[in-house]
Amino acid sequence: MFGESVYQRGGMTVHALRVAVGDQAFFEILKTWPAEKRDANATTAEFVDLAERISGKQLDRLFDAWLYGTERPGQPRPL
Amino acid sequence: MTLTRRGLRLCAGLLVTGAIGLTGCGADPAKRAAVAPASGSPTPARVFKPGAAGIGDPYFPTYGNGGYDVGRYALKVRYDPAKDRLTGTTTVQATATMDLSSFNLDLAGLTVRSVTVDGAPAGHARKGDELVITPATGLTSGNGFIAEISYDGEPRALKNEVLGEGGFLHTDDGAIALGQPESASTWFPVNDHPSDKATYDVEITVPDGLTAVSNGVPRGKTSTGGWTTWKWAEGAPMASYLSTVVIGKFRLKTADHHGRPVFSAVTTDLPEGAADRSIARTVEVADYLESVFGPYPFDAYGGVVVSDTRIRYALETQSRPVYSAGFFRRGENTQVVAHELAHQWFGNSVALERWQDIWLNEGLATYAEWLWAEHTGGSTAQRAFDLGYARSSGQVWRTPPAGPGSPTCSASRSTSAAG
Repeated sequence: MFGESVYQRGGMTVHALRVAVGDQAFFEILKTWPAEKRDANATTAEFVDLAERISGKQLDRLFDAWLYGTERPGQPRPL
Repeated sequence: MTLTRRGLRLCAGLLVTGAIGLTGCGADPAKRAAVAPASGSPTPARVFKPGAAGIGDPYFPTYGNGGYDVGRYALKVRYDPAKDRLTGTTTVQATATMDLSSFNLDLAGLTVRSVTVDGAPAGHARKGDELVITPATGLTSGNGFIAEISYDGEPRALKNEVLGEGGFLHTDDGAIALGQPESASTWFPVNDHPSDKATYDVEITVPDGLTAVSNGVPRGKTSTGGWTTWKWAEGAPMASYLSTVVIGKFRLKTADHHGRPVFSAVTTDLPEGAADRSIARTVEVADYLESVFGPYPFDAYGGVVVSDTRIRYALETQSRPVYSAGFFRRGENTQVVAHELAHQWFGNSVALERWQDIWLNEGLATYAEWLWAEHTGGSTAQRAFDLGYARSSGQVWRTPPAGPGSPTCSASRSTSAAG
């Protein structure tokens, strides 16, 4: 559970999100998440929902590949 | 949490062993007990039932407990390193979330001497690492209650996945209570799961001359009869695995930053040097992260560096991470500081609902390291991504970050399709 994937691929997932939604939406997501969930508990589904809400983009395929896939996803591209 | 290089080697081959005791992918938390109407009775009789022995985390079915929600812990603990003996009283302020005839707390080892609930003596029994408390009268759903547990004994550590021993460790000059995913239950009775956060007031009494560091704001110390009591207050809700106490001989540095106390401690086992310099940059790193993630979420800053060889990692204990001295062996290291401080936002203030989502903590903290490296003139985040993308092992690509220990669950994504 604390293997390399949650760190390294987890970090790469965050970068893939950045590439997909662009810097403006990405950094808004990074600030809004801890503001909206301050002192609370949260799930992956809620993070995905927030990223989609702020970016206005459909991110299912991106997160499916990066978070749930069992092979290396394709290079991230702007959506 | 960050592993030292040595620690990383230890966990090779354990990468997908997280599904300990996996019972199912969709297990729900304990359901509320029904209020059964009694026929022929003018008012419905309440049915009081035992709270569940687990909080409902599919990865760790026995972690935490059901039927109540803790608001505050008040710990008064005395530890004598010479005898490796701990004596404690823990007050648990909680609210029943169902009609309870009994409820569980997690407690590993130690001997319970007495329990009261709302001031009245309560029954108590041990079942493995569960403490089952039976109050004199049932606890009504929605009502607050206060349980006070007195206990003592020689603390014992728990075997943690990857990290080796976790929890209360007796060290050469004191003790370290640290670990993920569990540690707290080795030194106090607790609802040991991140989904039940609470505030903490901690008083630790140790022999004069030793420091006892915990989370949050330092509330001073008092000495009497050869013993010193150190007081700490964590006023923001905290997941239990983020609680810590570290006892020993330390170089202390205190300061004020943005009106908040800074309290850092480096073991005197280390000569003053890279560890001290790295920890001293805590507030500089926190200020940078604040510019990216928004306001720092807690009332205090700090860091603790320990040298015990069983601690091969750093852990983001709330407001005051604990670092293995190993991180500073090659010189100043602010990458690990950036990682643990990023967790103050991602993992601590925003905590896990279930352990399966651990990537939310570690992925964002890793990314924060990349941003910090770029900010300080090192490699860019893009470069860090490119290197990881090109060089990560097959194991990384085979292991889904959002289902790292449970391949059978990884196919069923539970996100909504809202876009």
